[in-house]
Amino acid sequence: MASKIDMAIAALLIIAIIVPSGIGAYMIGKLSSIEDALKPPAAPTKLLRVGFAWPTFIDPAVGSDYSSSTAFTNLYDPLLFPTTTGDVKPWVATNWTVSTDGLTWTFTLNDSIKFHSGRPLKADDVLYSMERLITIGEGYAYLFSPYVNLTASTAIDDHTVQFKLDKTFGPFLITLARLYILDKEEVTAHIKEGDFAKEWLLTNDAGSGPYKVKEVVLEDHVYMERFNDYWAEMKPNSPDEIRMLALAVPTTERTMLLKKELEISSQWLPEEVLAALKKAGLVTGSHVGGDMFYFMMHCNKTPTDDIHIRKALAYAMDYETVVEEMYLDNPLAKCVVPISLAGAAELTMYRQNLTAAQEQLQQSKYYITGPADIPEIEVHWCAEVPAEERVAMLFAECAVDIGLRVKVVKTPWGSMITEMADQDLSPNIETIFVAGHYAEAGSLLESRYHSKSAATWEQNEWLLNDTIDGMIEDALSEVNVTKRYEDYAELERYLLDLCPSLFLFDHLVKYSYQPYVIWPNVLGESIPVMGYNIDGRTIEVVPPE
Amino acid sequence: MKMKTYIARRLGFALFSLVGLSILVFYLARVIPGDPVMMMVDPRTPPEVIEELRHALGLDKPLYLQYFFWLEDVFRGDLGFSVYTRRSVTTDVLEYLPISLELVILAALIEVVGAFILGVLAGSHAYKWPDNLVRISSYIGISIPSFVWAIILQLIFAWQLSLFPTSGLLSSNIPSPPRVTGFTSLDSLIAGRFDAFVDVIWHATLPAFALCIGGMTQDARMIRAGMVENKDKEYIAMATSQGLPARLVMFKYLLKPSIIPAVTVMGMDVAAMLGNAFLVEMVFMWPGFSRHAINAMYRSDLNTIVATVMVIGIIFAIVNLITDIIVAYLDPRIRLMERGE
Repeated sequence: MASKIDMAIAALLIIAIIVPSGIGAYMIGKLSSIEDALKPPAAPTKLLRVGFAWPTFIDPAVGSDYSSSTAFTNLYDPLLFPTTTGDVKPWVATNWTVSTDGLTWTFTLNDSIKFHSGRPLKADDVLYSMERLITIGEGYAYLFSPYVNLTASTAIDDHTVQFKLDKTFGPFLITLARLYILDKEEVTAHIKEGDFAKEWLLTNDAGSGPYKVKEVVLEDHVYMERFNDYWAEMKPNSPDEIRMLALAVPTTERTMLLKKELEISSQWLPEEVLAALKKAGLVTGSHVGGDMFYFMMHCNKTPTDDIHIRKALAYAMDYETVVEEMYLDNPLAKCVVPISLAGAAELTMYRQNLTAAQEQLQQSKYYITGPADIPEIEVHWCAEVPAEERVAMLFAECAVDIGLRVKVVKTPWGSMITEMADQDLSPNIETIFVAGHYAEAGSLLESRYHSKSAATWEQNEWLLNDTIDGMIEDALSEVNVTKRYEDYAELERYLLDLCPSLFLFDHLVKYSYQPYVIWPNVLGESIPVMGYNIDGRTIEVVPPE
Repeated sequence: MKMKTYIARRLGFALFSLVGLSILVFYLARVIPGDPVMMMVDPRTPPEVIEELRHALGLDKPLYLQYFFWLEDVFRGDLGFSVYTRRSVTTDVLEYLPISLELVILAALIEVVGAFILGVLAGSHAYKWPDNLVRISSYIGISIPSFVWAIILQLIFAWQLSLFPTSGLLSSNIPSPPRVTGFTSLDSLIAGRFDAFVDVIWHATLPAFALCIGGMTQDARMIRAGMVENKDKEYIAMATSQGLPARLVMFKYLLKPSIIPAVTVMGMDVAAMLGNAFLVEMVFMWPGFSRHAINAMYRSDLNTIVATVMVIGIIFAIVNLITDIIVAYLDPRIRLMERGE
């Protein structure tokens, strides 16, 4: 019986092998050869594949995160282009004038720009792009909606556009690096049920940038191919195609980099993976992210409502260990906003000083007989960023050194957003990275400390301070750059003294990339505006022979 | 007629369960932390825009009304708007579900064939080395979770041996076939693109194995156990003593009752694969339904959460029904029990 069973099993095995092979052979047999079936078509010689975290919305009136902004840089032209110093240079607009009251801005446009559709870029397109952005109200609309008067703004002729502001806004020029120009005719042709063509623009573009959309599969990839009629200068070895790939697992990313299936990693690779890849011959590069890592202290909740407790914590924290052992090489904070932002003044920041911490503690209203009287401090760190846990634990240890009790809580991002929307639910401290959306200190000062940002995830401090609000508004309305920067500096000193946050470090965005990629933005020429550092205009790909 | 009654009763149970599931998931999705609108927009978006979006999504209405409107839309084939992908959830389901299903179907095929081969091999050689080998393999297969298998297989076969691709659905140089069914392999065949068909199967092989190794080895153990248990039963002794050929005894009288428990578990395994595939899909960057569901959950995308759970629930109910029918077909006692005989 056993031998027959063996035969039966053997037969089953043979069938299991032969049947699929037969089907495969039948199909392959329809081709001229097996090689033809397995050999992919010739690849573009200069391919730039970059890892990203989804979502990537390629509609400039919808996206405002890192990957969306990177897509805009390559698919669209902004009205003005940001520079490495945080300023802007002529781009779609070649020159401009401003009225003496600072309310009327007139821009002359470059007349040689063509959209991917082949139509010339005109003033009407610029005006429409601004109208569409503000009307939809998402993406970077918040930069313009409080200031731009759409009814009064006009296209004077094909190459001159005029924006009227309701009130003066000092950084207006700098924010125009976020006004991406869309082809009005192309967009209006794809409007469906008054949706401003939002659905069409999920997977298509209407830009004039150096690359145009080849294929978009939501949650998976954005493929962009070179636009041959691009007007501005491109490097000789600029990529033929840029492929943004949604990656989620570091091991997959690492394998892809080692197999040369990825040219540039995402910005989220752990330090140990970066080190291992460097050992394997890949290059590690970095640029300033324009963001800072904050411990946001609730100024209206016991016991962090007491400035002495906040200062005691600021003096107790071991900042050096954070950048030496956890977030390697990230520069310690030099200001209350990243020092790379224009208008950030270099200040004397809090550093670990346990004596000063004890002194501050003893001045606290909660300190009656000793530190044990002080209520427990709750710190919430973002569950999706595991590296933050180590910093939170270090902070707890430092607090214990001066006799304070700290409870560290792992909190999912969704819960953080919910609790930060309510002053009572917000914990004593939230640990979050926050970036400016244009390269000037005013951007972060407003989003971090103005009362209107309380109840959003950008402010757990709940400062609700009229003096600070007034100082921010005055600074932002100042058209004179020198005076505006002086206003920022005064505000920064004021905030540092108030100590509403722990200012840990300016974030250095790190990547692992292939040695055959020439990437000036990570070699000292970075642009301190999110999304402008992976730019097909400046990156070169020279694959080995 | 009796079989029809049996199926109708099972179908009734399934529908009842699905309605209950829809109420439960609808409620749970709305009480988990994370305001979907706040997750969708930039924190500096004006409050009036946020309110407008909240209204457009119906989130300003009482929960029971939201459920009623959702149900009404579902009957019209509209699963709502996704705040994560910014388009119709129905479009998302139609795009991602076939991609996951083709992975699950391949994994199910490997699981069933592999479990039968390994189970019969072990059962027919009980307590001998093939049995021991299958047993050890089973322990390893069951104890290692599918996402670890995914990483192991990726490192060995994609990285070290370069026999399979690291990730994705298609090689970067193979253009996608025109979409007809949504099943990339099928669409490739429809378009006469055999290169794309071979490429999809090549890409799906490692994730499919990662997904089914645990189930396959568990099922093999069950088949083996059933065979060993039934081998000494009187009806087998009788069939053998009557001089029936060993092959007939084996496949007709021994294997049939031995596989019944395994068939039930296989059904459950296959149905659960769709929901459990998310980590495997993430490791292999397989743009499927499970990965989409998890991403939607992270983003508090209420409509997608409800839709994905319901779709998985429906598939689970269908597979369960099919399994019940197969088991009833294989085991007449079940049919008799249902009839109260």
